Amino acid sequence: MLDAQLIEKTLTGDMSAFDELMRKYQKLVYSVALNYTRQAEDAMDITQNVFLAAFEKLHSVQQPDQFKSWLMRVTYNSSVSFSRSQRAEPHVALAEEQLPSEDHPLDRHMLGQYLDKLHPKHRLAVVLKYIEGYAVKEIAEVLECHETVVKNILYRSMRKMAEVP
Amino acid sequence: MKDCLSIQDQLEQIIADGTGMTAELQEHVAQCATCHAVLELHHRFDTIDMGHVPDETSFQAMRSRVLRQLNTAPPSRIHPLWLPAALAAGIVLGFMSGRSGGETSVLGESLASYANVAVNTLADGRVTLSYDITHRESLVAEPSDPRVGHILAQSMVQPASLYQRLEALDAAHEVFDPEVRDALIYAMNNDPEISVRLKASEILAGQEMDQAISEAFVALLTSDANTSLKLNAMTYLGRDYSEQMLDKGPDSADLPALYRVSQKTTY
Repeated sequence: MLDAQLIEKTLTGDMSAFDELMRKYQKLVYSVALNYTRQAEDAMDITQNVFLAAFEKLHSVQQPDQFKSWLMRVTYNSSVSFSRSQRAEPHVALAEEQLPSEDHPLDRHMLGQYLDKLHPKHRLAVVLKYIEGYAVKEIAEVLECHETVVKNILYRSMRKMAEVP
Repeated sequence: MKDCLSIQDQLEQIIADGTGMTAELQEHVAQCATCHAVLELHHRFDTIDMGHVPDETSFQAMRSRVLRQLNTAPPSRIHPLWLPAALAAGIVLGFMSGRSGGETSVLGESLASYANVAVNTLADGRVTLSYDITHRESLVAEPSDPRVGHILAQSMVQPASLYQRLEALDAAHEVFDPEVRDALIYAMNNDPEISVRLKASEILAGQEMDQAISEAFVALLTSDANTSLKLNAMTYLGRDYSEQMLDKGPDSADLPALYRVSQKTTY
């Protein structure tokens, strides 16, 4: 069923439709959140809060066919809020031998080291491109900007991350 | 060798959609350590090992928590569109049955505001007018009247303005019944404005011992990051245990809620 239909059903009180929406996007929301928290438990909490917030604001979705992009923005806002609330926590640095190297395949933890260098919005662009496989056009919809801006964000992000360690 | 700026467009394109490298770019990358590193990183990002992803059981548990929370929320909060829809439907029925066709206007006696007006012409020439309506009413009743608690509780959780929600919380000082209590707990946990959450928690912290409030504060202590909210929770839970000690004696009092919280919390 299309997102627009599921939203319409949800707004008339059909909670199974909302469950279907959650099922459809749970992994995407979780995966994006995980790149801001790095803790699986926190990412699941954010996922839960994202869906609660999404339900509350569902009636305000202007373009139901762009629900996915809208949900990504809700996820981004929730993840950034969470990250800010956790800012006081000491950052766990990787030991020197764990630092990413060209010979070592990137895993999620190492990826986090790179992503920490980026502005939260730029981080979202990188996560959507490389982890979620979004096309530039789709990222532009989420970030509500032009495709050329996304290309530039990705390029500048890669440049900045290439300066790591 | 061209400078980095002059081949930036090509690099942006490769990163964006994996376009192949031109000879010009290949030459530049071979001599420029920075652009080489950028391209290298781009290729490594394309083969990220995402590691463990939770199984469906974890997601199912999360969805159940969401649905449970939505189902325990006051209905008006769950379906903000229902109220205007019901009002509109009622008015449409009124028109259809001819009850509003008399001499006296149903709306003329109150200061009403209308929104989302839609007009449909019927086959017989009459029209169906659908709209949302709000108008001001007054209720004179004892503070213990359940209608008073119901209206206050609803106004705390309706998507009204921040000012209106705070005003309802002010009034909750005077009227406190189970419905108001549940609305306060809901506002403390869910309101998007921290000022509303804090005020709700302050009012709850000033209430008599109550299991629902106690459980809400225990949950808040273990899950919420806001310090002021936690202080209100601790005030209430600390008093809860002290009062039990006075009532039942130190041996009979339940295990203090704050102690239970400390067992769940990682510092």
